[in-house]
Amino acid sequence: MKDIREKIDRFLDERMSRDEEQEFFRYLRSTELPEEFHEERELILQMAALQEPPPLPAGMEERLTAMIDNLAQESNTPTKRVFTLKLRHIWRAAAIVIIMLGGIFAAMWQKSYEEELLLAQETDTFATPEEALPHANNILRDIAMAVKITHNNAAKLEEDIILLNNIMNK
Amino acid sequence: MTNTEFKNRFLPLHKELYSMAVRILGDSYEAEDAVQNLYLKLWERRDTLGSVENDGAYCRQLLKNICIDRWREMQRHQQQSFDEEAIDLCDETHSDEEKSDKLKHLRAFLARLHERQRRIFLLRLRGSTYDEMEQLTGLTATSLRMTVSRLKREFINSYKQKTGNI
Repeated sequence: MKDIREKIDRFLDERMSRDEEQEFFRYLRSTELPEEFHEERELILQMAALQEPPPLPAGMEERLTAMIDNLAQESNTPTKRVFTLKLRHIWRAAAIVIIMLGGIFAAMWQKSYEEELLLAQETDTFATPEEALPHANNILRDIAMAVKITHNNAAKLEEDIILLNNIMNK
Repeated sequence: MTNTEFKNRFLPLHKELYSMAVRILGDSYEAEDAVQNLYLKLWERRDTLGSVENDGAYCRQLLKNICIDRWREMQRHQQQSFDEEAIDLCDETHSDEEKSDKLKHLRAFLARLHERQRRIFLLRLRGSTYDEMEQLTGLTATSLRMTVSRLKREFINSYKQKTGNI
């Protein structure tokens, strides 16, 4: 009797290890106890019932198997896809570098041309308008040419941007 | 690791892992979802699993982390089905005749408890370790142990009072 009381108290005071607890539940289920402990045994076994492993949901194993199969199937294609993606990134980077270099050179060329024009104006020492006219015509023609080149460069840049967008959107 | 190798190695563990997830989460849907999440993580790491010596311990640790995150998420959203289903799951292990009566008193006692006490008590009754409970609740093992012990005695006494055996 004293032994039973002590076991129950150890259980209620949380002084039992998990293994001891399992042993205690087995003891309560299999041992005929004096009547005064019947009620406590019933209540303790109610608490023990919550430790019983729950039944597995129907079809869980099949669902897990199907999930793993799907993952395996999906992982067969990504290797190729990763390579394609990487290649695409390289092309994109190359296109961006080319466009940026083109833009920089165009800007530099335009700037140096403008500087030349300014220098030409500063060193203008013609005595009569008649003397200056052919030179002015030449300069205007050069300016027109430069504007045309810049316009062409801008159009080319626009085309490249559209092309790049198309590549990125693929 | 091939699909077949992966399944042969890890799929046999799913039953034990599901039990563990139910023990912590107390909800069959959440538990199955946590186990699926675990297998997804394992698959993503399949190329590094060669160095794992103890598959069971490795899976349990991963699943414990998944369950702890999920448990906290459930707490934040005050999931209503949490406690009720924890009891229903246990009832499923009994025959129909037993069901109506078997856990009646425990169910009634749990229903009277404060939300926080009920969660602690249920975690312990389902077999969670104090280490797990500390991580889940943020309380110390000593404080949890005292709470559980007090609730166990209250449960016994409440029944005795009801039946006049005190």
